[in-house]
Parts: sequence; C-alpha cells; structure tokens
Amino acid sequence: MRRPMVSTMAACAVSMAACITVNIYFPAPEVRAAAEEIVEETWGNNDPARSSQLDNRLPARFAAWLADTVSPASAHAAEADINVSTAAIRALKESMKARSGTLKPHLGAGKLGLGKDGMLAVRDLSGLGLREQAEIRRLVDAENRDRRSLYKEIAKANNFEEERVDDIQAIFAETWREKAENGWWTQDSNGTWRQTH
Amino acid sequence: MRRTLAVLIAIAAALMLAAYLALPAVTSSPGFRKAVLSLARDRTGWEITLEQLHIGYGLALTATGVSIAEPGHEPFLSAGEFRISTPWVRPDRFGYKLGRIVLSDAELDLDRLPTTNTTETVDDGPAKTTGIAFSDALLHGAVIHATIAGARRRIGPIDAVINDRGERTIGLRASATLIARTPIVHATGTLHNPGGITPAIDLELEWEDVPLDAVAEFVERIIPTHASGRFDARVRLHADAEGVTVEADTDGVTLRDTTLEHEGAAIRAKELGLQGRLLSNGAGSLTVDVQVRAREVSANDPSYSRLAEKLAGNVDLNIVIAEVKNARGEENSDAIMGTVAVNIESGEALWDKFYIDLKRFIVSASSKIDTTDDVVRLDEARLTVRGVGGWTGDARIDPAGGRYDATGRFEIVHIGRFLEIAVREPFKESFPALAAALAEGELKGDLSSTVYGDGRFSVYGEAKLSGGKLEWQDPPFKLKDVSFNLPIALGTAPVKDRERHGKFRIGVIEAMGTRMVDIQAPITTRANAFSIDTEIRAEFHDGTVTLGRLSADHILHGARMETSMALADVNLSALLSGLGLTYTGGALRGRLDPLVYTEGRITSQGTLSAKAFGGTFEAGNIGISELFSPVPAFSTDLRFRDLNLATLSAAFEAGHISGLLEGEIAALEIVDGQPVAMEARIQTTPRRGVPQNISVAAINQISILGGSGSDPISRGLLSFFDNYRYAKMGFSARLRNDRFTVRGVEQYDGKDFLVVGSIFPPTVNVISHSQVIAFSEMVRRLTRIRTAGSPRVKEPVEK
Repeated sequence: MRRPMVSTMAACAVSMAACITVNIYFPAPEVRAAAEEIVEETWGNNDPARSSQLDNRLPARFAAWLADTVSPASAHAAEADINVSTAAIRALKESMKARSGTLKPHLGAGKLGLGKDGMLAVRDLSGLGLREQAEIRRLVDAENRDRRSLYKEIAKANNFEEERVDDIQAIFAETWREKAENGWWTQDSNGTWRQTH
Repeated sequence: MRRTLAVLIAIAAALMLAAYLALPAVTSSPGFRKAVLSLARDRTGWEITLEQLHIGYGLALTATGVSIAEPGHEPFLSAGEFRISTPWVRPDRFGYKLGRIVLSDAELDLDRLPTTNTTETVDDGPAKTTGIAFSDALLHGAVIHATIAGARRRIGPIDAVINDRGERTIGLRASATLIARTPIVHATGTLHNPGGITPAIDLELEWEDVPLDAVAEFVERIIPTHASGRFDARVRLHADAEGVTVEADTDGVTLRDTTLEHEGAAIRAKELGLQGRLLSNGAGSLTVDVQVRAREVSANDPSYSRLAEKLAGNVDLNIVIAEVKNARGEENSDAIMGTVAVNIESGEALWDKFYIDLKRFIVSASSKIDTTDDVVRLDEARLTVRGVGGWTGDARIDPAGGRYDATGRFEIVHIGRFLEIAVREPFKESFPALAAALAEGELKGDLSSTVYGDGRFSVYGEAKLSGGKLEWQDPPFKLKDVSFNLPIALGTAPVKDRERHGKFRIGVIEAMGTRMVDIQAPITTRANAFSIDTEIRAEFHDGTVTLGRLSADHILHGARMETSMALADVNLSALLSGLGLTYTGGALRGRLDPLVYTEGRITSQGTLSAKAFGGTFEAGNIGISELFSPVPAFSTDLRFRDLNLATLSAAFEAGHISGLLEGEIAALEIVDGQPVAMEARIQTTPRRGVPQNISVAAINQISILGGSGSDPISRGLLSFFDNYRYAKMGFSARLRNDRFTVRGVEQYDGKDFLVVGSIFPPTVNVISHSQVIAFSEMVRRLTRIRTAGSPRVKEPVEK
C-alpha cells in the first residue's frame, strides 16, 4: 500500500519537474536587420562601395545565414516583426546621431575604435590636450550609455527576456564593425585591433 | 797644515765635482738602479721595477717605466714617469724635505692594493708632518681602476696638485670617467690633513651635460625606475669624520628631458632644478634638505587614462633616512622621517573623464612623513586646492597591508567649483541637465575614512553645509539657503553603526512654478542609512504638500528609500502652468503611500485626484522606471469621469463638443515626453439634461485623427450645419511598440464608429477604417489637426 503511494508521488514529482517552459525563440535575422537600420540611421554609412563589399562577403553572410537557419529562431523569423521605433529608441537614436558627428573624426584618426562588445573604446588619445581628451572620454561614456540603453529598449519593445540584451548587443557589435568606415579601427573577437580597409 | 787642508778641500771638491759630474751616469747605471730597487724592496716588501733611473745635475730623481706590485701579483701602481725634484734641507729639524713630486701617466688599481699597509706614518701632532715630507706633488693623467657597484670602473685621467706647505691640504683638479664611457665629472677641491686624525676633504664637483644612463644604477637603487635624460650639476662636497655633506646652490643640479619609467607608467620633466643639502653621517643616516623646482612635467599611468601635463611647481623635501627601531622593536634600516611639501602652480591633470586645470585651481600639499613602522604615516597633512577648499589631518598608508586611513577636517569653500570639477563637467554629456547646473555654498566637516586594497571603503564623521544653493534651468529648479548638519556613516566595508542625529533646512524651493519656504527637519543616520522621522509640510500652489517619514537603507548598494506624499487643495491650473501646460480651475489632492525608490525605479501606491473640466481625474500606480538611464519612463493608471466635454474641447481648441466623458488610461507610460504604452478606453456617458452635440471643427479633427485623408464632411447637402447631434462618442486604444490599435466605441458591419449619431438630425457618424496606426502617423495627424484651420460642413457621414 505504502510503496505504490511513494511511487505515485515520485512519478508526480518527476512529471512536475518535467513541466517547464523553455522559450528559445529569438529572431536574430530581424534583430540584425534592425541593427543595420539603426546603425545606418544614427551613424550612416558614407561608403556604399564598401557596404556592397560587405554584403558580398560570402563566408560571413553564409555563416550568419547558417547560424540563423539552424537556430530554433529561424522557424519564426519570417513571422517576427521587430519593433525599433519607440519613443525611447527614437530619443536614443537622436542622441547618438547628434553625437556621431563629433565622434567620427576621432574614429577616423584612430583615437577611438569599435570594441568587440559593440561599445566605443578609447584607443590612443596621444597628441590631444587633456581637456580635449576628457571631452572625448565623456562623449564615449555618454555614447556607450546610450548604446546600453538602446539594447535594453529594443529588448523591452519586443518583449524579449532580459537575458536577450546580451544577444542584441552581440548582433549590434557585429553590425557596428561591419559598417565601420575606411580607416576606422575595430576589435575582433580575440581583442585584436585591426584597421578597416 | 793649512796647505794640507787646502789640498784636502780641493780633493774633496774635486771628488764632489767628479761625483756630481758622474751623478747622471752613475745613477743611470744598472748597478745603481739595482741597488735602489733592492733598498726600496727591503723597505716596502713590494716588487718594484724601473725601466730607467737617473738623477740629473739639478738633483732631480727621475724614474720611468715604474711598476709596483705585491710579490706574485699584478702591479697595483704603474707610472710612465716618476720624478722628485731637488730635496731641501730643513734647518729647523736638521732633516730634509723632498721637493716637488711629479707622477705622470700613473695607473692605480684599487682592487690590487696591498691588504696590509706597509707605509710608515708618523703623527707628530696636529698639522704636523707625515713620514715623508715634500714640497708638493703633481699628478698628470692619473687613472684609477676600481670595482664600483659590482663592475670594474675606470676613473680618470686625473690631474692633481697636492700641497704640503703647512696647510696640510691637497688640491685636486681632476677629470674623471666615472663609468668608463664619457668624462662626466670635473672636480676641484682640497683634502685637509690627509694623514691626520681628523682628515677632511672639500671638493667642488661639476658635471656638465651628462646622460642619466651613466648613473642609472645609482638612480635605480633609489627609485625603482628606468631613468633617461641629461643633467648638469655643480655641488660642493665636504667630508670629514662627522660625515659627508653635499650642497648645491640654486640650480646647482639641473635635469633636462628627464624620463623615469616603470612598468608602463612614466614621469617626464623638461627641466628639474635641485638645490639644497645632503648630509650622510657616520652612523649611516642621510639627511636630505632639498628643494626641487619643476617645469613642464608630464606623467601617465600604463593605461594613459590618468595623465598630467605641463605641470610646474616645486617640492620641498626635508627628511632623514636612518636606521631606527620600529614599534615591534625591529630594525628598520630605511626609515624616513621629516616633512615634504608640494606646490603645483600650473598644468593640467586628467583622471579618466575628470579634468582639472591646475593653473586655475592651484594645488598645494604638505605633511610630516614617518615610515618607522613599515607604513607611511602622514601627520599634520594639508591638501589645498585654491579657490575650492582643502583637507587637513593625518593619514596612514599601508600598501603591503592593503589599507589606507585618513582622519581630518575638510573644507569646501566653494561647492560650485568643486561640483564643476567632480560632477558637472565629467557627467554633463550623460546628464545634459547638469550642463546648466549651478551650485554655491560652503561644506565642511570631520571625517575618518578607510580604503582597502580591494576597493572597499568606509567613511565616518560629520558634514555641515551652509549657504547652499543649487539651480538648473530645464526644468527650472532652485534651492536656496540650504544648510545641514549631517552625521555620516557610509561604507562598502563595515562602518560604525550608531544612531546619530542632525538636521537640515531649505530656505526656499522654487520649482514647478511655485515657491516653498523654510522647510526643515531633524535627520537621523545609521550605517548606510538615514531617516527623517517628522513630516515635512510646505505650501504648494495654494495648497499643501506633506512628505511623510522618509527612510533610506543600503544607500551605497541596492538603495531603498520609502516615504509618502500627500497633496491637499493644490491649484491644478497653477501646477500645470508651472509644467508648461494651460488650464484654468481645479484642485489636486490625494496621497501616495508608500512612495518607494529602489533599483533606479520609483513606485507608489495610493492615488492623486483632481477636480477638473467639471469632472474628476484620478491617477494611481504613479512611478518612474529607468530613472538614471537616458530615457526614464513615467507611468501611471489614469481614470476620469464626468468630464465636461465643452470645457475640455475649448481648452484643447478642438472645436466644440458638449456632453460628459469618462474612461481610463491604464498602464500609461511616457518616455521623452511621448506616450509609449497604454490601454485606453474613453467614451461619453449620456445623462439627462446634458446635450450631446459636436461641431464641424471637432468632427473634422476627430476624422483626421481617425485617419481621414481629407476634410471628410466638406461635401454634400448638409454642409451648412454648424453642429450635429451624437448618441455616443469614444474609442478604445492600445499603444504598444509604437503602434496604436484604435477601436471605435461601437462596431457595426465591420466598421469602427468613433462617433455614433443620434436618432434626430442633424446627426453625424465618424467611422474609422484604420485600426492600427503607427506612432509616426499619429504625429502626422496631430500636426494636420493643428494646421487644419476652420472646416466647412458639407454633409454628414452616413452610417
């Protein structure tokens, strides 16, 4: 009498433990498209030839496609409707756009670079006065603060779980690097700085 | 007899003459040389060789190719030529005294010097003779070889004059190669009493354009850095039994283009001038009394995020380095005791995004220093930033133990300048409102702080503010006559947790278009926590605002603050006017309790209600999220009922609508002044005796808002009516992800009715065909409404 009861309870416990919901859906291709749109809007890409070259980089594109295809997200990708236009996102984009004109020359001069984490990084400010260096560091801080908020707002606007903010950031990091203009320095996944040609 | 004597004298004279004439030849003979060498060997025990020896007619003895060595060893002294000029008879002692001794091209190897001193020295009293008396001695091109700092060095060539004319001094004039590369020092001076009981030496040493590399080993022994650059120096050295003193006058030592580097960090100086005195006594202590004048100094840490440039100033160092016993009774061989003062008069410094112009804010610091107990104790320390404030107190630095303690009094005489450096400028890009922020006041207090190597810290003490003022422009906000007396107990490390009491007072608050005066309350603090236990009541827009007990915990990490706020009879029109909105009439009241801040988010329970537009508004769940992000979000649930549409439409210049309105806007979220989320349900409510009419202008605006591409009722037979009757008007709207989903107050035949016409004409229906509207489209429609002008009614829309 007692043994069947214990067995039943154990079975119930196992069953309950097994009843979990795992949401692994994440529309990476749409987020990537959104990232490209936002990067274009905020920082623009003044080098169409290079953009075309990037698009034609088959290994990279194929790898991205393959990653998206084999992931569970791909089943829903076509249905996904990524929203990247909320008041918060618009405000952040405006802020980043207004700042880009000041930051771009420093990227072109190699003073700043695009880090592997999708954030701006100070590379080498030598030759600049300390007051100017302070201003640039403050701009970089403000830019990175906006970027962090942007990734959070995109997740929030699309009801992604908070853990997905890192995925969004990773996709944006790749996009910032891809959209880098000639002469800019970008950091690869190993942390090595390379100049874009 | 006399003749015999004369003959003998003549013979003697002839012999002497013969001897004199034969002297050079005799003394040059190998036999003579051998005899002399044998005599010298017997007297000294050394192996002495000569290539040539002779005594000339001037009675000067000249030896060439001289070499002196211990038996079986390499020579410790060699000389190209050794010459002793005419000896002089000393009548007073009936002895003799050598004439000038000249030693040319001598090489002395100190490493090979005999271990036992075989020379005989006679002390016959102060300032008297040595074993060998001589007129003077000259050294030409002497070179000394020695092992210094573990390496063989060559010092020389040295030219020296050694006098023995009663003063018992030796004059030296030397050019020495200290480190066998470049001649770097020229020395002149005197050596007193070289063989006496209290010998002393006075030298003037001069270095000119010497590379620091040449003394790198010496520098690295004092400071563990790689040094490069060049220096000039002119110093006086005095050495006696008491010790060695080195003195330099103003600009006595000048370092140019000096760089000190250590593990990526570097200090570079265009010019450093040193003057002062070093005294090394026989007990091994070193007294340093040095003033350093620096010009164009720059410094960087390995990451180049902490930099200083163009620094100019001076350093006064008055210390003793000595061997003493520490508190545990152990010997500390390098204890430093004394005072140090630094004054930086110009330059600039950067610490990540914190920048200070040191010409505007001159920094000076001074302190007693004592490292006896293996830690650095700074007593009576003073740090002053001119025009900003300073700190005086004692500090204890223990890098090995990873602990830094400071106790003292700080005084910030101009808070505005302090905040400019520490807050406004560093953070204005991230928080633009700071750019126009101004502050005044004087803050002082006594604090004890401890910082640990792992970054934890604690601060305990008290701070007092007087004459405080804070204001910024957007939105307009002013605090005046702020003062407080605040016990402080903060720390990420354990800090004394004792209840203490203070108080604060705000003379005037000007914000949101109103002015509140004389707000004060006692304040209680504990570790990382404070509370204001009494209610704070202030007049606010013709009414009152009351803040309840405020408690704040964990204010350094995971802060949580809780209070309550009650509004009574606040003039709504005045409040909205203060916020830039226009409305006449109404009063705001209610209570938010609790009002909680935690993790960058403010939440509340309770409601605020207002009588406005003839009805009632009620706002609940008021909160702000992402408070410190660039895009904070305001949220609330809004309910309203019995709003008089006639008043409302007039206020918003939306044509004329009569009737009563009720509804709710739930989960309203506003970011950057724009709604980003809501669930709205708004509709008119019929009531006996209340007409329900709508003007053409209002219809037109609703139509535009509903998606009509053009003036929808400007055509048709009924265009001449000014007003229409309606039975029901309203909509439900959902805003999510920048998209409105708008549904009419009624759905019929697949259509959404925003306005449902009444039974009796003239009547109007407004149908919306677009249920989903992007936010950008909504903005376009609102813009069109603002620019639409006065419409003309042509015909009603059919149901």
